[in-house]
Amino acid sequence: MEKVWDVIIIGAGPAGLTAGIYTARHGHSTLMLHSGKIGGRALEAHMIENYPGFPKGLTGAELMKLFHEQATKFGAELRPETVIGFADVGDYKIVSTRSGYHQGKTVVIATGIQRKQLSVPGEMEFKGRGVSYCAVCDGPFFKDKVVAVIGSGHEAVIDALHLIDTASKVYAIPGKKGYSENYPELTALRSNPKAEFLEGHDITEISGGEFVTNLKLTDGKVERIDVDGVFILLEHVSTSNILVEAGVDADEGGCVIVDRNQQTNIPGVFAAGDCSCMGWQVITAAGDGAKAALTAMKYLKQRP
Amino acid sequence: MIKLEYFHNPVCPYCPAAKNLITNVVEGLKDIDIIYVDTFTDEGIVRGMSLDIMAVPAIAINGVVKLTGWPFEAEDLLTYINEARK
Repeated sequence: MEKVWDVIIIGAGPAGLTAGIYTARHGHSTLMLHSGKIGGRALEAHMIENYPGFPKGLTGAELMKLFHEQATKFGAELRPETVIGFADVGDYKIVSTRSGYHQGKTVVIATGIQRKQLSVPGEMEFKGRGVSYCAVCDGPFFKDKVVAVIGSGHEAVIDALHLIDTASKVYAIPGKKGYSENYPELTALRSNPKAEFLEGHDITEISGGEFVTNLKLTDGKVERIDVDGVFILLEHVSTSNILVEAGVDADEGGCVIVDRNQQTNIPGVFAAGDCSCMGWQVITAAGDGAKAALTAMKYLKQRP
Repeated sequence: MIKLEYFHNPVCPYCPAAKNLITNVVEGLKDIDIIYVDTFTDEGIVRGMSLDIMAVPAIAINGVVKLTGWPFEAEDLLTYINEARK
């Protein structure tokens, strides 16, 4: 018979890793499935200064490395397998991946979110050849070059400020609706002579030859700008579609609905972190993960 | 020897997965010389830019960029390695 895990955690960001630390530490067999990105969205944070216990601050990658070490120290097993299906068959939950399937008594969904794509011609074609989704990772390649930062959220503003240190010019393009809020960092960005704001425009195409050379815009006086790089930093969307299709309740935005103990509508299935669209912080995701693990362990105890 | 340069940096979310893939593909291959290039170092970024790399993770084989930006497929990497052997 196939092994039946006490807990299967889908995702290995702050929420999933914390849940794994808790369940593995209590001696529950814990399988963590991830798509190769241990640490999740937190890995993209260039500095985390508000995580208690680290007064000097540290990078998201450093913090996630510690989470990872702690989870494996207690025996959580991490496997790089992308989840492609989920079924609740009563006694057990079946989680299918490209490598096979796993059976669990409980499941913790910690799939996080992923950045929305721009979905214009050229975006996929030029991915890695001028189109990037990570300013911190790829920014150094654009030293003394012209880049565009597309996005209306806080990260887009922060990352534009980050890029302006190395790039020769940064076009800030929030889209037709403008910035979501009047973020405090916008003042610094607007006063920087290397920044040019193109508000009220939408991008219609990313073009070039071997690499990106220009962007086409609509609904404004400017129809085309020449750029070397395009950083697409749109808002995030939930990535729990497969689980939602399998019956896990979610709201209109795809966010998994949980109660105050991280329980979903399916007994034995819990959700934590960004996939439930609450908090958006490493600390809140970790808190959700701990709560989900505690509720899962209570469920395991009461389970017939 | 085939020179495989693997470009990465400490904040790149997909670099650990890329490194695992490379390790699995080259395991047991004695004609591959892997060079780890951290693009957060001065030498690393200069080397990356000299090859027109614009994103990490990236792989260059014998000085030619073959794979840029995740995901990579193990099969593709092996194909490029085999091409370099000819």
